[in-house]
Amino acid sequence: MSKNVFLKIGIVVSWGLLLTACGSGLVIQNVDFSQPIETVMEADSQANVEDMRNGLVFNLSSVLDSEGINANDFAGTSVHMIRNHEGFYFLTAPGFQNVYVFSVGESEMKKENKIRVNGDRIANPAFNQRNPLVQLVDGSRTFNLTKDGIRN
Amino acid sequence: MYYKTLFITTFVFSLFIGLSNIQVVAQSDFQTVRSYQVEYNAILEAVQALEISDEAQAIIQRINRFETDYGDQADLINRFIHPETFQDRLNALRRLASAANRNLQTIEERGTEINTLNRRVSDLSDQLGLSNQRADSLRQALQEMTRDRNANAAMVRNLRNELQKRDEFILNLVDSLFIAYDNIDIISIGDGNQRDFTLSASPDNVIGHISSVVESNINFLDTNTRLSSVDYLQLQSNLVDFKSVWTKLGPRLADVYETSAERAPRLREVDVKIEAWEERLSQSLWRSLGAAFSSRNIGLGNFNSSSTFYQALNNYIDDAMVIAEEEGGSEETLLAYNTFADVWHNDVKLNWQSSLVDGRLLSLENIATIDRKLVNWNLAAQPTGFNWLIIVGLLGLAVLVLAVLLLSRGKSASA
Repeated sequence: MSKNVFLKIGIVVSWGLLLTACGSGLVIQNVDFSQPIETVMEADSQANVEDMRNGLVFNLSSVLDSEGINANDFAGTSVHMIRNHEGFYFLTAPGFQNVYVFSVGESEMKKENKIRVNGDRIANPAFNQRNPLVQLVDGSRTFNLTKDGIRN
Repeated sequence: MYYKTLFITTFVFSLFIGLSNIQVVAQSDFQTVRSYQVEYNAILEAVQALEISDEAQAIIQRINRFETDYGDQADLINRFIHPETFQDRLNALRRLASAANRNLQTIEERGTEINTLNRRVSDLSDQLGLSNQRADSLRQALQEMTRDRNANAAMVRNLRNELQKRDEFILNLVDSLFIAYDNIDIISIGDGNQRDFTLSASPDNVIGHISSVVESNINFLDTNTRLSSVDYLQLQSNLVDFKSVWTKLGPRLADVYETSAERAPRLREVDVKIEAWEERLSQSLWRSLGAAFSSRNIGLGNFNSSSTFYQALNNYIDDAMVIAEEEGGSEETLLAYNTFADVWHNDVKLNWQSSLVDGRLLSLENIATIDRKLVNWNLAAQPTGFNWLIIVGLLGLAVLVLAVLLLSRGKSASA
């Protein structure tokens, strides 16, 4: 009895999802958003950065506040950013303690995760695309990252 | 052996440590790409700034190292430099470097050729300088030669003038010495009968001219047969002078104006003509002299030369003296003497003597001998008579008176 009920419910949900999908429009699956080379941008005194190649412009003030860094002190610092295959942006900079993971929304980048790097603050960061991972290199240190954190 | 083993061990250990570090120290892809980009741009700029082919070779080697260093990262780099590729850029760099190398080699070859041409131009300039110097030397030598030539030409002109003067002098001398009878003032021939002697000596025919003069004189003798003895004597004197001058100057004139082959024949030709001239004149002269004496009833013996002429004169006088001495002086002997003495003194000595002497028919000694003989002949020819005895008596009386006077003076002095 209960099995039939769950089976019916499943069929109804499936049809519902199918109908929902048909109603929301075209979806492209299995998209690889991985950016082969990180983007390195230089922050100005207002913590604005710009990716000249991709036309990406945003302000890091909230991130700097999160790191406890003054925007004026941060001016001229290189900001490193790379996008993994899932489409999440990984962002960090010299002096940061964390790597920030952002998802893309409508005119916004939303923090999905804040990955803390143990030990000293990041001094000379660099992202390498190592699908499905993102590699963070900081001097002699390397870290394999996913949107969820550091993978050993 | 020990050191070799130690070296190999150290090398392997170092290699292991190095590889371990490479594995430990990860590199930023961004940094790798940026390094690649920096090196690529540097190589590109270096290729574009190439100036010598040796640098091009170094660039090509640098490109090879570039390929080695970044070849493993080609996929990463390809994504970054899309739509270009690592290999495309590499090929492009190599093409640029090779082209630049070829261009530089071409330029260097051209440069070498230009240097060669410049050296050639320099050499040619040096040669031109040397040629100019040589031309200057030759020009100077030419000027000197021109000056020398002008000087030589002036010298030649002077020599030619001198030779001309010498010729004129000699020819005038010849004309004055080898005189033709036509130009002599002959007593028996009036001025109207004389003709202008047109022959004159020329440098081309000096000996021929003299020969012509001789020939002309022979013709003169043949043409004028009624000359006086004086005329013949004058002609004889001329002949003697002519022959004397010819003997002295003829060979020298022939040396100057005749070729060696013509010299002897021409001299002989003149000699033969002079001999003929002498013979013709001698015949006429002796015949004329004989006629001059015979016209005064003086019968000289036959003579046809100066010696026989002199001998004839002596014989005539000697014969007359013999007659006078044997037969004693008489009116006849005195007349004979006077006749001969008149001819001798008034004709021969007065009119002929110089010509006889000049013509070498008689010498002054010959004439003096004849004069002495005439004195003796005169004494012998005087007629002997009363007057002669009176003179002897008066002379004896005078001697006697003189002796008395001398004796009387001797006594007075002793007393």
